[in-house]
Amino acid sequence: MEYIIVEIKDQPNVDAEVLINRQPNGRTGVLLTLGGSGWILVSVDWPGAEEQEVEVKNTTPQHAMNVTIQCG
Amino acid sequence: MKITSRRKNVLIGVGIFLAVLLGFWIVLRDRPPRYNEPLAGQSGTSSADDPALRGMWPDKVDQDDTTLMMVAFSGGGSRAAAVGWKTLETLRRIPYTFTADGRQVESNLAREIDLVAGISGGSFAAAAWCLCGGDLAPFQKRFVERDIQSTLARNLFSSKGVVAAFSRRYARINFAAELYDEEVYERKTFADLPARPILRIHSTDLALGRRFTFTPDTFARLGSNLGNYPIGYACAASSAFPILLTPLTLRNFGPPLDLSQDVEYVLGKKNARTDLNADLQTKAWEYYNNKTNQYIHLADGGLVDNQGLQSILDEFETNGIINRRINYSNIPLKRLIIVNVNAGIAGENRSGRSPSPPSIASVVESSMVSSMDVLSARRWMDIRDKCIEMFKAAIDRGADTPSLSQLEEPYRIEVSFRNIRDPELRRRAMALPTSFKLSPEQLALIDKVVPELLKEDPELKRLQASVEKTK
Repeated sequence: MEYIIVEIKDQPNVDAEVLINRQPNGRTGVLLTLGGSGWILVSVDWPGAEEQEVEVKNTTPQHAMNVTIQCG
Repeated sequence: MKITSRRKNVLIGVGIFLAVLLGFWIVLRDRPPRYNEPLAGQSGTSSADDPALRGMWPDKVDQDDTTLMMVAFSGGGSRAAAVGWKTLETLRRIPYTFTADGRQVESNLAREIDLVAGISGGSFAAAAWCLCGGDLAPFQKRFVERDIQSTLARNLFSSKGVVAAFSRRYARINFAAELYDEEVYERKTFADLPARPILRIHSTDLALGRRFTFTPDTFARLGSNLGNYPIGYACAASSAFPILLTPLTLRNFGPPLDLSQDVEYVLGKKNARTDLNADLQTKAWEYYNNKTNQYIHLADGGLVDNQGLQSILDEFETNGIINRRINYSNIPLKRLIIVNVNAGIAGENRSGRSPSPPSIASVVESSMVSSMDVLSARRWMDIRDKCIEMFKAAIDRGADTPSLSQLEEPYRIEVSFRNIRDPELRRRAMALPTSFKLSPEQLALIDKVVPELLKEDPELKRLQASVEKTK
């Protein structure tokens, strides 16, 4: 399993739905679990949110990958 | 040479017989079976379109929102269907109490099931549970207690058998499919399934040597509509054991999808170098997208996963149902319950007592059944490892991760003849046949051992203690 925390750039307190591979899967700002390592497409359901392709690997619950999403 | 009158009559008779055969062949050779139908409007595909994945939570009103329960039914002909049926009957009698909107709800464990996966004989029980609304008595009568085998054999000598003998499309599996459709599932299709439990029927795609699952997503890749496909046909495909039954065929309709717009495909290709599963998955999608492959031939799901456990493992993957439920923080997940209903048998193998090479039957047994049991055991252990990893994450970060804050150690319940404590009962259970027919005595044995297996399961005891404690 792998772990990420997704936030919106400059808006760390926003609570929005996270989209992984364009499917809703969790909220911003909290630890999210992934099935395994590899490339995923991350975004958030928020106006102007961009998609970001990231490779997740070697994470732990204590050392999750932080993903920051730009909103135009 | 002079032809005698008698010989002349014989020749005329043979000629008429051959003419009749030719006539049958001409009339019936292209007689098609019922195929899957094309989508009304061609569209791209996405797992997000799968109704099973939309609106998963909160649960149905009569279910505990904090519990996710999945059951996998193994293959094994009528034995597996009967073990599945009895397991469900027993789970229905196990009280399950939870609190909803401040009031205590008295329910039962079977009602908590969110997903059922079925392979081969197990697919019949899985489908019946999803369709029956809690009443399994009709299924017991129409399938579990019925001599399906003899009915199928009789069909060989009926008009359907004649069609199957001459048609190159309509085969033996088709009258099995029609039997299940008409007499077991009352012509119900996938559109008749409720939103919950989710049904996963698995078969094997013979061209790919891979699992084929009857989901809207898979059918969309074939340009086809799962909604109007009969449940009985899917069960027939899932239980089409090679040689005994012919494969069941689906149509693969065009036009091809634009895979460059399919995010799962694009990322799968990117991950393929290091992730062999992603590599095989994207190759399967490419195969379905090549519309010169007009037909998809399906055989028994047990050829690649005889216990349906891969189906459960898949739900731990990113965007799988377990994965999405863990990340759903509005209502924290408290209990993940996985039930492995394994009707597998293991007779004594005596080939080591003889210098002669094992018989063909013994080789088939070893290569198609015993080796699959080893793989299934590995998958059950993989599920255990996933559960441990998940629970460790809850221990490590549960306090500051809402979705993990309430999680109890996941429950892994196993119904398996290997766990029968009485040696004589175990021996008798392990000697049950793999067929589509069970005697009253054999059914009585299943009726006796399955409730005992559940009653003695340490994980179920732990679950019942937890439920009792939170009353």
